[in-house]
Amino acid sequence: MKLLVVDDSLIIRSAIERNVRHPEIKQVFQAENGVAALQVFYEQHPELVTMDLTMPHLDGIGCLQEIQNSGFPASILVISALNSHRTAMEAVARGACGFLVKPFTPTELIEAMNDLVLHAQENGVRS
Amino acid sequence: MSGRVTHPVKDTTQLDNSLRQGKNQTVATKDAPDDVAYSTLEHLPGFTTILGMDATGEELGRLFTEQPVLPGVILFDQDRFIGVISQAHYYKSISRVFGREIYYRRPAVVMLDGVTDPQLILPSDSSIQTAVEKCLDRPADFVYEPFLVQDRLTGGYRLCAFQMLLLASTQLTALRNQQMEQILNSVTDGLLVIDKNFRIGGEYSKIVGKIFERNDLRDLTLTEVLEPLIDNTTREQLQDYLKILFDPKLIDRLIKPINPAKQIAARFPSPDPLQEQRVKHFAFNFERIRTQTEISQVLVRIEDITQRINLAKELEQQEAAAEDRLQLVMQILQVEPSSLNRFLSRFGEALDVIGKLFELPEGLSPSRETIHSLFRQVHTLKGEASLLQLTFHERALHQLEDQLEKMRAASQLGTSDLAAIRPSWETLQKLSEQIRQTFDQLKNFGTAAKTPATTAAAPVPAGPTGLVETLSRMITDLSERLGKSATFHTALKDSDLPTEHMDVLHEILIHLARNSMVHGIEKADVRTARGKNPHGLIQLELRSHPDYHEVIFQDDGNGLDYDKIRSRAEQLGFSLATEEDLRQAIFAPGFSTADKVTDIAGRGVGLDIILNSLQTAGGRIIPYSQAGAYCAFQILLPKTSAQVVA
Repeated sequence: MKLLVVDDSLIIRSAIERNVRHPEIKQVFQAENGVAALQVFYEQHPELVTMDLTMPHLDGIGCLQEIQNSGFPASILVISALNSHRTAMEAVARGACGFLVKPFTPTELIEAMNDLVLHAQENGVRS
Repeated sequence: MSGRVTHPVKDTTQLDNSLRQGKNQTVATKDAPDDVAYSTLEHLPGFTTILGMDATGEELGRLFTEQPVLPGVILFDQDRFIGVISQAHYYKSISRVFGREIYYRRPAVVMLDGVTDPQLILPSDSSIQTAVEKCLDRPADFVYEPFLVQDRLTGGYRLCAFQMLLLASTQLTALRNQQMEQILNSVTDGLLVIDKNFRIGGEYSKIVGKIFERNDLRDLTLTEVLEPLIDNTTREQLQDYLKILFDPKLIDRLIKPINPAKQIAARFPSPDPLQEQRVKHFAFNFERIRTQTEISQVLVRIEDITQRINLAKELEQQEAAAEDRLQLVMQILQVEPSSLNRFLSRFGEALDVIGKLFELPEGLSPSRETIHSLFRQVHTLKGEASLLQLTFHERALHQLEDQLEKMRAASQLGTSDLAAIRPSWETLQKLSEQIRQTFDQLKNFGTAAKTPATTAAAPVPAGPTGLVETLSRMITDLSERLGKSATFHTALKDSDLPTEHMDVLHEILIHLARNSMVHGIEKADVRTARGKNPHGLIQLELRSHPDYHEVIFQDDGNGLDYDKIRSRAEQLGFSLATEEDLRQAIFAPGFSTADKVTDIAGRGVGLDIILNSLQTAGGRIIPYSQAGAYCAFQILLPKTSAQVVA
């Protein structure tokens, strides 16, 4: 499977990439804003996406919506600070399948990635 | 109670010799454990009466007559299982026309001719529930037939009556309900289950009733129950979250973080409408119950965390109080000891006066004069507290002053008015007590510091050492607080001031300095616009005369606004016959032209107090002013006869 990490912070992106050691995940891509994320998404069709909510240019919610409408199903995990419940709910309503709150520990991230991979497999998100 | 489903058939029937083959016996099943948790076929009583191939129908009939409870027999050909003849099937067979003639003399196995349905055999570790389902799955004619249980370990068969299974199942259900009820009555958490429409199921733990203070929750939705108790935002968030909970595509663990009810405050109406609402704090936890394709229900665990929250708050308050205490110590350390002593003794006196008011007999209220004098006392104290930078005192006194102000304005004084100032008074008492404790600690600290090793390290409090420095500090402090810029200029030292008038000078000059800063000195932009130096100047001078002291206090601010003074004075009904009347109007009780009441100045008390103190000391005060340019006060104080002679 391919994973796309979307976050405007290089530190967070690197932290996620460094801690992703799931055997199913063969390739990791990074994008620093919503627009860049969609570009990578349409080129690579990753099955897994982690998404920050507050980013410059197209924000996480907009990006989620676009991915949902793309016709390429993906399991999306929102990784964001929990500033507003409303945004979090909206993200879930727009197709994210879970929420990981920043700041997170490596263990929390690994567990969440395992859940995400399992979710992609169970929901038949391409293989 | 015993959870056993027992129907022990323990005796081994001595079978006729004619039952020659096989293990011909009726065997007891294993004893059911006393433990209530059993729920498999392991302990369901059964019979292991086995017949050989040559046993006749008549012999079988005798067996059923002797043992009416025997559900049937198991037929074996050597070690090969052939089938089961149930009692019902036996009687059905021999009741046919010529039944006895056909079956009595022949081997019983003949009765199985024409039986097409395979015998139901269940492993002994099947659950009672499964067994019931399997039995009921059989063709209608066979539903009540006995079934075989094959022992998981030995592979041996025993024959069980379907009725026995039903009995076991019923008892088990009763047991489960009872256990469930016990659990729901004894768990300390609130447990309830909601369905897809967020409706609360009939079974919920006793605590849930306690938590919500009602027991009619069944079939209400969770949000309906919470609606009167929580604010709209939380309710909407919860509603959204409940929808999310029932979305099977979402990952359990990864939607927990967005639970908006991890900790919520619920407001309960008080039975007494005059009392405040009671606030309880709840923690909600949601566990999703999945079937293969959907979330069928959500188990909701509710914890009443009010005590925990209140405890945390208390702790926070204690910490804050400790912090305040420390600040207080720091403040006190900064204050010049004689000023502090003077302040504290007057502070104590005022508190005592108020304390006496509370001792007034029922129905008696303090006179208007008492309140007025108290108000002025508190006002002065507040000014001094502000000057000494005792912010805790200043704040508490300001609050008390507010309440006294209201009492002063009220047409009639009642006991309830007195009750209103009690909390402020208590706060001040506490403060007073804290200071006493702090002083004690400082005393100990002083003693400790005097030991030879630490003498050098003992900190010297930095602070004003007298009136002059106090004024300077106060002006700097007020400049900051009021967003103005002013410098205090004087060549005087405390030692130059007349010692016998120190108290009254202290009081007067502090009032004047505060007035200058609040009413006199303009903000820098106003000053610049007026063509003045943006920094204000406040000066203090002393001129010596043979029989009196002349103290001049002056600021280069707004000056007195005689128009405003005149209209205010007329408003208050003063007679203004001469220029001097107008000048002295500003010293009248209750006179102030400030538009706003602040904790710094502007309540219309101040200059009248000055005049009082001054007159007591035999002195006079004369204002000189030019609007927009300056305001000066000439203070004249008599010299004592000794000084005059000298």
